[in-house]
Amino acid sequence: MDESNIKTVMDKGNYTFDMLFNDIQADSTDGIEIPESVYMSNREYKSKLIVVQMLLCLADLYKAENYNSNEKLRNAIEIKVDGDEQLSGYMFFVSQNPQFNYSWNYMRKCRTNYIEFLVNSIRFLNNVLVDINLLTGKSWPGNNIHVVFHDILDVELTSEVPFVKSRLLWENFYRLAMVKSDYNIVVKIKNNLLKTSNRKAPSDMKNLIDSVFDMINNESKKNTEYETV
Amino acid sequence: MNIPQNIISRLNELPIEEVADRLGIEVRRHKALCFKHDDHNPSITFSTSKNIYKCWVCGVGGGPIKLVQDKEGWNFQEACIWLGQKFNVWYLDGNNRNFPKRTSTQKYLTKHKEETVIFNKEVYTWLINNATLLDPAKMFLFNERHLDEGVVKKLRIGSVVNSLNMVNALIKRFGEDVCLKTGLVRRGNDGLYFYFYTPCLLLPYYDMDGNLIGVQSRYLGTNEKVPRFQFMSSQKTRLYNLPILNSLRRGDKLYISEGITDCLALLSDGLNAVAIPSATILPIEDLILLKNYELHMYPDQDSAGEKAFMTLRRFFINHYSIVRAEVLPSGVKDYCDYYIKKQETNG
Repeated sequence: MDESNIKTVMDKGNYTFDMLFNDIQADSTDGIEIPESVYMSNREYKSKLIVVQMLLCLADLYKAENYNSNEKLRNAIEIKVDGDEQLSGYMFFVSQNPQFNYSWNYMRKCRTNYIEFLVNSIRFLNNVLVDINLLTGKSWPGNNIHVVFHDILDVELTSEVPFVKSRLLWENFYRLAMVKSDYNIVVKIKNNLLKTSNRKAPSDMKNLIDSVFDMINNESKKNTEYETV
Repeated sequence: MNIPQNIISRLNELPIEEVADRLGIEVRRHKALCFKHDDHNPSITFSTSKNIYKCWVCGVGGGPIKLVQDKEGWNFQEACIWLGQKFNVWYLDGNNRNFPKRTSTQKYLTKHKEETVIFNKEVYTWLINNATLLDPAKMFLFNERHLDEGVVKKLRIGSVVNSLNMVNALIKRFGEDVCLKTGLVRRGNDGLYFYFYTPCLLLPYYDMDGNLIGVQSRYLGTNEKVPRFQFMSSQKTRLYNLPILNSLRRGDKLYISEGITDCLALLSDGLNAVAIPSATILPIEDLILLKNYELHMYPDQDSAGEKAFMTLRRFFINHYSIVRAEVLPSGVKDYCDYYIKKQETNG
């Protein structure tokens, strides 16, 4: 890969959770473009925004560099969730519904699953942020390059600071509840699929970037040869 | 008693210089005299980027909670509770918590002692009614800030220029004991003095029912060591200009400003506005009243302004409402600055 493609962090600054959240909620505040497809109501959108905000705040609080092992992160989240008195009160209140046979068991199981959900989504968001910052470390040729993380987050690479524009794919919001430690990454130019990868470690992202660059370079070489002929 | 981890994190995110100010430490250009040793040249440095402080002579240092511990000699929990209450982050057992006595501080300027005072509505109402707008105040409001006279009148903004006259008038009207208990008049080594530094504007706070709930001053003099704003209230800090909500309907456009001066500029520009007292103080019981309006904010063009907007946005998202950020033109620092430039350009 051409070294000139590598931008320094000093040039651009890092993409942060705050910037990510700004991008995500810009839909609603900039042009009042609450997704028109009406796959959700305004109120549903606001409820989802609360969840996204909560997850991003947690991801920022439990940064990967400080909570580098899953066990450490799980312990921290467990302390937080189990120590939440209001959540315990809410569990009691919901469990009084006859559907749960006035039993707390279901709610207790849910709380354990909830801890897992938080751990997985925090890990996911932290990893995505690392990946985005790897992406913005390169000078991408042309526009319309999109990197989609697990069908949840669509990141467009742009030529202006901060070099990315993220958009949450609200129609796939439910996938947040199912995300695990590894996830899919799709690289597209406009709507044309360029490359897909299953990301298990940061090195996978680096490899993906390298192979996408190779593809783009080969393609432009071919075009040049055709033109020469 | 365990303090939740998220509360500890939030307390440690409070701006360190704001915390220092609440502790009575005079911070100037990110420096202050050390409270741990006999200091004559400022040895404490504040890092706003790392949100920590450090004394380069005696070595004390740390984040906001540590600062409170070091300054007041309290344990971790006491420091957290005090911070939580002061910054509306967290409360324990209402207001009944007794803190160990606060220690005195070396400062650039001797600040008025913190004493328990009673907000006597009758006395403060009299003060507001008798604090007419005098020349220095008119000059500031209308010539420098180009504010609308109707707005100033409606908000019942007044001024005090001669503090001695005001002290005498207050004592004549209510007696010395009452005046001392309200905190408006205080006793110093040289006799009685007026709490607010003069010359100053007096900006009354009213609740939605029109009850006077607090008074804020804005110093108009030239002494750079004097704090620009001082505040006296009956309860914890409230939103400024709450009565405007009585004239608004659900969904109406409402601006939230950081501080009163921006609010006055917005109102003078014909916009509906309320003000939070500062970037770090959020009166949440009042803010919740705003959730059904179309909320906008012009964040100040600095990190504190950005932080204030982010905190407000977070608060309102959690209550199913959205604050829209409006962008000021480049080269202006806040809405007031923008308004003044706009007025001067328009002649």
